[in-house]
Amino acid sequence: MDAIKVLAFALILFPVSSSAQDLDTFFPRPFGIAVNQVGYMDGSSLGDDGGPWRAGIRRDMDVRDYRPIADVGDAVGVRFMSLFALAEMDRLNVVATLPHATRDGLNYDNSPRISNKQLEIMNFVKSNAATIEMGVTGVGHEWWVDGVRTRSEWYDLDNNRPRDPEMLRRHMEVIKNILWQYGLAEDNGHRFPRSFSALGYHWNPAGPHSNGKLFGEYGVRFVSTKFYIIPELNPPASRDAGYDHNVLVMDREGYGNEWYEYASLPSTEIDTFGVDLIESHWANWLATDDHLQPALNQQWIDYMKMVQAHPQRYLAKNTDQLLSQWLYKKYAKVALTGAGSATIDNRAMPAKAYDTDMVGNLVLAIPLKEGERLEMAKLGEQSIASYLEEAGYAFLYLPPLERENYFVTWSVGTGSRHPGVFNTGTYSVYRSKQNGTSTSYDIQMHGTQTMRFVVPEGYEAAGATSGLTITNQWYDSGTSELHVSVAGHDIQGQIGTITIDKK
Amino acid sequence: MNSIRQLFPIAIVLIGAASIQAQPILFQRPFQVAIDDLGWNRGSSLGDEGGPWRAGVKRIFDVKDYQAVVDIGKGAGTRMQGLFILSEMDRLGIVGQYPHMTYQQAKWDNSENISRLQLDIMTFVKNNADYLEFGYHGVGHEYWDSTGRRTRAEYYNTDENSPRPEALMRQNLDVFENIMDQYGMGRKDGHSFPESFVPPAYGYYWNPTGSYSTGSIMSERGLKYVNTNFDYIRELNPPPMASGGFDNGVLVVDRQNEGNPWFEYDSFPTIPISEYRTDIIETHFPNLLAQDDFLQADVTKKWVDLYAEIQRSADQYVAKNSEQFNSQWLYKRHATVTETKPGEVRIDNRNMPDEAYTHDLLGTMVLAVKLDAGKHVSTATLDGKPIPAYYEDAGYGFLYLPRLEKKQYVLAYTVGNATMPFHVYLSGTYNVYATDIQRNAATIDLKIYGTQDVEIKTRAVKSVTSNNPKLTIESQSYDAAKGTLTLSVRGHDIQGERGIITLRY
Repeated sequence: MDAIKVLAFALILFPVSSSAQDLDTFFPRPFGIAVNQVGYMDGSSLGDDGGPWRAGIRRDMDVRDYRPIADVGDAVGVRFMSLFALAEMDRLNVVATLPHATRDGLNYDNSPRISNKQLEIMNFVKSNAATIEMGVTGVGHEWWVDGVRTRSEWYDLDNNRPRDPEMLRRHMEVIKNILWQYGLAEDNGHRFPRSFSALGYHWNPAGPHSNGKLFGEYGVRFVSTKFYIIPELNPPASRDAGYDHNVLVMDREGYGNEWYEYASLPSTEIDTFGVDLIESHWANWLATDDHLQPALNQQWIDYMKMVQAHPQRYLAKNTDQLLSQWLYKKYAKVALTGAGSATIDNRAMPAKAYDTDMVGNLVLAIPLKEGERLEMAKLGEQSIASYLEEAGYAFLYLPPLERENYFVTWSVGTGSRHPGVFNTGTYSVYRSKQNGTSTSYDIQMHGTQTMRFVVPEGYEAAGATSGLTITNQWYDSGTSELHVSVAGHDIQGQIGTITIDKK
Repeated sequence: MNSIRQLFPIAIVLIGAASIQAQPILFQRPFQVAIDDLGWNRGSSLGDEGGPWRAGVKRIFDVKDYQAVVDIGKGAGTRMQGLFILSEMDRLGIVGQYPHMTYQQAKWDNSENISRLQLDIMTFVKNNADYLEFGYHGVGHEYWDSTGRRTRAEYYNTDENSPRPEALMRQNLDVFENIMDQYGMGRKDGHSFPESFVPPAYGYYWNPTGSYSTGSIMSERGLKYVNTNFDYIRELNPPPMASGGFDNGVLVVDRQNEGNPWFEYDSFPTIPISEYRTDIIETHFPNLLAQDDFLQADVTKKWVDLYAEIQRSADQYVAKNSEQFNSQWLYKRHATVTETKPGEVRIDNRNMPDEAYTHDLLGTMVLAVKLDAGKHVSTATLDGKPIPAYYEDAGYGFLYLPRLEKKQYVLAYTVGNATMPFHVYLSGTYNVYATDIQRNAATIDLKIYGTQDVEIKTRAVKSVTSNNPKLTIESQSYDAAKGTLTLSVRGHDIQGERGIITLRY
């Protein structure tokens, strides 16, 4: 055991006292917001006619209706989980092979909606993977038998019983097919969506069939749902989460903005939020017309900035990061041990979290005074690879932690900047490894983004692994940063390594 | 001694319970809502791109949106003043021949809008003339010069304070009429030019002493009533705010917006009714619409409730249509009404301007009586002749007087348990100008919008006829217990069909 580990162990046993408030600031809860029920081409509700409720707004959707998600995400450095109902995106009418996915069942005819608008939308989604996470909520959102609707697609909430698992598998196949129609399938190097939303969820972690079992087989890792509507299935407690087979299922709540309301932000105080991933719906992000959209975008941007400045919350850059921090908040013990040091005990992290590859960055927030910056940050002896200074905090993105004890040190002041990736984007930097003048960074890139490396002049991006493409780079001597534009191929996140070296 | 008029005092004695009303007669201000920007097929604004602002909502309009307006009218008992922009209703590409009318100028291409939706909408408008007035707003709402530069607005340049060329403005009217023709709503199909106009963006060339004004070219077509906001044309010395005046044959009245922006769904005036600055207030199409159909019933109810609140107020009543609104507007400014003793009212209309008569702008006058529960106006005569129409709502009895000449009148009325012996009970949105009852026949002079039930308190009839083949009696029924004859009367002209209905006994 080296000296650092001895010190860490000692400090875990005898931590320096710090207030709970200080600790919550230092080890903040993540904040994410999901955008439910995108993907409809027609927004108007058919709920009163026995059809789907869709977006609840009389509007023919087009590519401009996806821009607000991207624009806000770009402004605040967040990739928003966007959950698609895909029936109206179907260009080959494969939905008509599903008897229960739409009100029209086997007579479903999507031909009136087949147009360039769909292609524009899906191209936009594909090109904006940096800020739009393509998640799924289903094919038609509800379930119909001979035109009679029950709620909802993945579990029968009206009769408290599971749907036929083989029929649900066919729904998943249709989802795969529709994504394939837009070149978003594995044959083009894109994984199946990682995030799912299900209003009715068949929770059955010990049984042979469950939504989690099915979804997990397709590559889904995360589902948000409402536990209070499935009490008969004994789900985790309200505001909690749990594993259903290999999928982490998390409770979600809305905070005042109704699903059909235009331009509607959460109306309750953030301090009252019981969950870390909150609910919103597409209409909430849209103004009634495009000429009003910039003002609404600004409201969302201001809201997100408020969250980032909140002493106990921070903006998770992406879903992986949100889930990871949620796991750390539940299972890791963090203690402040001095003005520039802390310990992390991650020994209680469940093995399942590693089996499902959900352990990623742990985020710590260090308050900064005016003019201060992060000068140094280490995990043990390793320099922390990525950080961000924003809203009065230095956010440290620690690497994925093993089931061990750790000791974190840092210093802030007006001296030189901590080297590493200054992450204003939505990608994840997991760790760095130095080898002489070369430093390689393990990352997960979403779409195309500019990475900012705090390095002296004379360095360059020397290479990247397959699936990552360096499209441009330049040195900004004003900030002493090497800016590197990197394109990740897989819209669900391209994992790889980028190497910075001396020219 | 055949006339019912001579039997009237006896009737009063027989009614027995009639009494002098304790509360004074009310000479209320009319209330109306103007709805701008109907007619666009697509709502989304093109304002940022040099085009029209349209309705400012991202929505393709369909017949359900017009149904919402009609439903409000039905709930409120008023014919909604709808002001239409027609360029996107052009199915023949005629607008492209006039580059100043749209942002696309000579490249005007309306093909993406040409569909069954347009026919459905305009057929609906035509079939619902009882609760929706087809009013005039314009062709393209703005004006584009030869370089494609947009200035506001279609009929007067408020950006540079200058009138538009008269010849071009006549073209706009021609094009509007051409598009009306495309839907069988024009003169050749028996429909008049609209009576009401709102100038887009308040650009109205006010010039009452000149030979050319917006009013002069409108009046030639038969248009009568304009409402606009005078604040936008101060350089033309229009009448003061909340006022109005005559301009070359049309009556132009000020209207204000009371807080609901033009682009807002489900949006209402934000100040109390008692603080409305003008009798007619401004709204825009989205204000009356919900963002989606499943929410429309709530929005409709809120509008109906607003009207009902006005109807309950002592100061204002809901005008049944634009003609009635403008008539009352004129009476309120030029006539005096004095209750000299309970039940006897002197009306002095000698100061009514001649323009009101020369251009046929004046119609019925409305007076109201607050009624206790179970009470009715039992008799009401104007210079000894029974008034033609009466209606009860919101605790008031509304007396509809005929068009008044430039003279003095005496209205005598009583309140009691019984209703008047012969009258039209004006539950619809039409106008009744006069009635006359003789021993073997009675006549009713009226103007019908669309198809409406006309309720007449009368004894049973042997026959009913109309003197106007375009004013047809579709059906009739008599309720002997109530002593009410109900006629379903259809007027062909969507701008109102006038004629005389004769009842024979």
